[in-house]
Amino acid sequence: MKDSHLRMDERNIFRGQRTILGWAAIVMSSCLLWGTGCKEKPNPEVPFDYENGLLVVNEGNFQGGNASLDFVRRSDDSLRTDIFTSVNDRPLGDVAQSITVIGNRAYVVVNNSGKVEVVDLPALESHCTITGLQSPRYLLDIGGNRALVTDLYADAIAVVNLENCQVESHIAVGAWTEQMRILGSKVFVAEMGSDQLLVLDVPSRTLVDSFGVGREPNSMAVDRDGKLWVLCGNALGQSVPQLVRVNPDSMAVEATFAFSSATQAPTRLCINPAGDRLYFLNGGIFQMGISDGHLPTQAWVPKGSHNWYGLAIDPVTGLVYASDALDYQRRGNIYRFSPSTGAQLAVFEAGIIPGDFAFLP
Amino acid sequence: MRIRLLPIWLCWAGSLLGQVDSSGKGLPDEGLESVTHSLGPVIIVYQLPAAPRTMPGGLAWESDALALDHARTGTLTDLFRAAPSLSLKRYTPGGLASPSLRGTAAGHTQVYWEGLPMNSPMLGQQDFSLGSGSLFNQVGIRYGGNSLLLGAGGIGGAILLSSSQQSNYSKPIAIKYSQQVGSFGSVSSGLNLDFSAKRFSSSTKLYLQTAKNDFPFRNSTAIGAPIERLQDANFTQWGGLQEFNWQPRRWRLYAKTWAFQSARSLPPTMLTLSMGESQSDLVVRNVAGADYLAPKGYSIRSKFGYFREFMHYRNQHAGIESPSLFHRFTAECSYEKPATRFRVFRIADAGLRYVHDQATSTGFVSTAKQDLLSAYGLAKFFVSPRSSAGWSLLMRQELYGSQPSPLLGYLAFHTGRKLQFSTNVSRNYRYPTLNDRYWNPGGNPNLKPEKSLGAEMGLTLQSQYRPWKYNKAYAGVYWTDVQDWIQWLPSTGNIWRPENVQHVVARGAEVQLTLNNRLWRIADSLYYDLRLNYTFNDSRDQNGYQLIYTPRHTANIRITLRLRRWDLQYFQEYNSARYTTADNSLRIWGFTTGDLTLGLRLGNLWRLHFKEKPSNEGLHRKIFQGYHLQFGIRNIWNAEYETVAYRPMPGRSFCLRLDVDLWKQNNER
Repeated sequence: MKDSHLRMDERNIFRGQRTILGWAAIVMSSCLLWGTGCKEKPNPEVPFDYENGLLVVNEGNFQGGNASLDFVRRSDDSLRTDIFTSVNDRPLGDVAQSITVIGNRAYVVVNNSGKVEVVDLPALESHCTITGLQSPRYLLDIGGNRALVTDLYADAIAVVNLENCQVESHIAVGAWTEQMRILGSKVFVAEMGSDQLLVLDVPSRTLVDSFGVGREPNSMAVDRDGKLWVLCGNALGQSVPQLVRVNPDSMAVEATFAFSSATQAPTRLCINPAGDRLYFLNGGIFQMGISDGHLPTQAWVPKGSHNWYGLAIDPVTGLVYASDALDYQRRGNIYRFSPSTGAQLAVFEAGIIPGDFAFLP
Repeated sequence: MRIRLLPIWLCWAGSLLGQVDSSGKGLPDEGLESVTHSLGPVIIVYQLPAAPRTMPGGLAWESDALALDHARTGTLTDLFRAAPSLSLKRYTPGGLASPSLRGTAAGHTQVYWEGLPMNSPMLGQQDFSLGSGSLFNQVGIRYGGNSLLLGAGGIGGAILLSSSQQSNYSKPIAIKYSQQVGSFGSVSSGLNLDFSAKRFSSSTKLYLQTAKNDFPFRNSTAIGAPIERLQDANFTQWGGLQEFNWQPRRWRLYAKTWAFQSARSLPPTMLTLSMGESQSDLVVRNVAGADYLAPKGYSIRSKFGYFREFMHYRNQHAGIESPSLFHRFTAECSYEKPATRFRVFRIADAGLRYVHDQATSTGFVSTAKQDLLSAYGLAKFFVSPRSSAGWSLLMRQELYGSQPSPLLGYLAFHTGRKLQFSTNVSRNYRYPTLNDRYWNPGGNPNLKPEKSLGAEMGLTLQSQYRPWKYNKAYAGVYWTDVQDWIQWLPSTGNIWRPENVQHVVARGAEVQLTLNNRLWRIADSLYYDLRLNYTFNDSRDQNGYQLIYTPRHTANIRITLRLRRWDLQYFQEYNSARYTTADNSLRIWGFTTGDLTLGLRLGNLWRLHFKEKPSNEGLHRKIFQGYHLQFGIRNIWNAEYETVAYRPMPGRSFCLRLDVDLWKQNNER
């Protein structure tokens, strides 16, 4: 009697467990279906002409693989986001550093992917990918279907053949090289890893000279008088940053404007289309006339709650564009300012860490 | 003639009363010490109860023997694959793997080895790719406020690792060797040597693991999505754990050393170039302690720990050499009294811990140091002598240098036996790491500790008829509110600086099911074991966004069937999509993978009988040999998945494992 009671008890338990086992099987098979087959297909891209507007390069996070390109059309301020992936059905890469437009092609330097993505304009379709670079930063057209590419770690500047998208040769340098400017047959290179401005000869593609300007030169601009302005930013807080004016012919430093403290780290020097007003970031957005005798003490656009990260001037309209990278972890914003009053004219939501811009005719 | 009775093991019940224990091994009972009696010359070995590491009314999970055996040739990640409410962020197999509990960050999961805090004082977390799964036989998780018994900082919870060898006279010598070979150059070897005498035991565990990890994967970021092989992902680690135990009468003295060395390359993502990154680690952890079981039932424990951990990161292309080294000295003592339901109120436990850390790194201007003093007291109340309902209250106070913590606490209520209801509220905090405070540049010495409030409740239905017949179901909800969450933010120039900016609320629901029985309707010798875990987690920051790399849904199911000498195990896990940006604008897709393992036991085929002493006819000694052959298929459905964006994980792979057991057994007649 006792045994039969126990068996009945066990039978009931078994029925209960059988039900639970059934549910478990359903859950498991659902998991299988759920996880293996669900991949979103991007919406098919409707052909679009990327012209008469602003290309925004979003750096993305280091090793996050979320660099992207956005586009703002001048005529109606319409915004299109992540356009490289939409057109080419693959991600742009890891840390998109800069963009250069040469003719009907745009060259996007993707730093941590060690490559330059070349796209045809206005469709933005991939033309080729320049590889064989270590940690590229900026690309400069030097004519003859050749370009120079600076590098963070290679201790060399790459000479790239734009026809076949191959690295042709290297010019050895001493450290991390950043922005470049071409004046006549000379290319001036900011050697960020030192205090030097390097001078390259374009025809021979060789390093011919160098001279000191200030610690960590990061960006340059050429004014209406042909003078070269160099911003030495001191990103690591080791010395007082400075803005210097260089005579490119004599390669002499004509003027030096020292910032007030080593805790400052100015970046992104650029100049208006007239070539008489300099802009740079130093917490806020600052503006300075090329003939001013001192650095501005008041921000043209204050820092406020922004994390100003990128800066560019539209060469056609003179409008000032600045990017706010917020906390680097979310989509940033692009602000448009009036060059005369500094008034905010528009704001657009960009990708992760918007940093560089290119203006398309 | 000597007659020896087998030890009578009774569990440490007082501390387990009302606990929600996923293992099914810890049913409530009275706390009694275990005694081995010997007639003739009488030898009494007092078996001290295991240190209480969970509190009534809190959720706990214990790994079962099957999971421990399965992870024997793997790393710590393999020990916790089937754990509920735990998310493992793995860069690659063998690469950095950080655990996080209940939707909090990896730094909110405290890891303890033999009860000593193990999280790096610099990074504040642990890498679960380091260390072998073969070293531990007690592995568990304490969720939320239940971790406060071990220490503060486990806002998500605490992970416990322990190896505890007990003197086993019936098996004086045991040798176990495991050898596994698998796909992608994976080789894993493990050797255990256990020796037991009357009052003394020694255990030596050694392991070697290596893998090329050059598995193929689809590079979806390249034109045409070609199949490529992962580069620079090889790793090698070897090490071991030595422990000695000596039990003179009411004492237990022990010393353990866990040491390992690892070298691994750090592979690039699908979108980056190899930078020649590598990391090497050399870790030595020591603990020595003495436990005393008083005649009145209370126990006093003391232990000392010394950890030395060296890590060296290299980046060849960037020319970065970043070595770091820290030393940790720990001393702690505790008093424990098993609470019984026959005493309505009792101060159950109290303890004091001192930790001194000092670290050197290229990121520190000088040696960074910190001192921690932590004290706690735990009281338990029962509603009436015969009631199963009771309250527990723990208070903990910490002192970092001269800075006192807020008063931390845990208040829980539990009732019921077969159907248990438990609930608790808790207050916890996490002190900033040395990197947070002293890293140069960017360290912020003015950071405030992160503070949290937590609450949870759950229902447990469990029944145990026989050791092989055990059923349990748990369903519960939790809520955790973390203020002053530390986040590194851009500061001047390229310098990042940690700030107390985030406010995170993590809420969730957990379901756990364990069924363990014999399928007697099909075959008398067919047993099954089924474990199912599901967690829904919603962790949102102050802007309402889900935290990055925090899945909303995680689930796993493990089914094991055993028929005579054969065993078959199937494991399936699921992780839902995870956001990779703070504004939830980008995400990686959810994934599910399945593993299948078939095993065959060839045990006890050869026995060697002989008499130890010709004059002693009653005592025979036997040498047994056992073999366990396993064949496994990992990721059997060949799912393409990533746990970190653009870092591929391996597709289908295979492994073959052989365990060889040799042991000498005393046969008592």
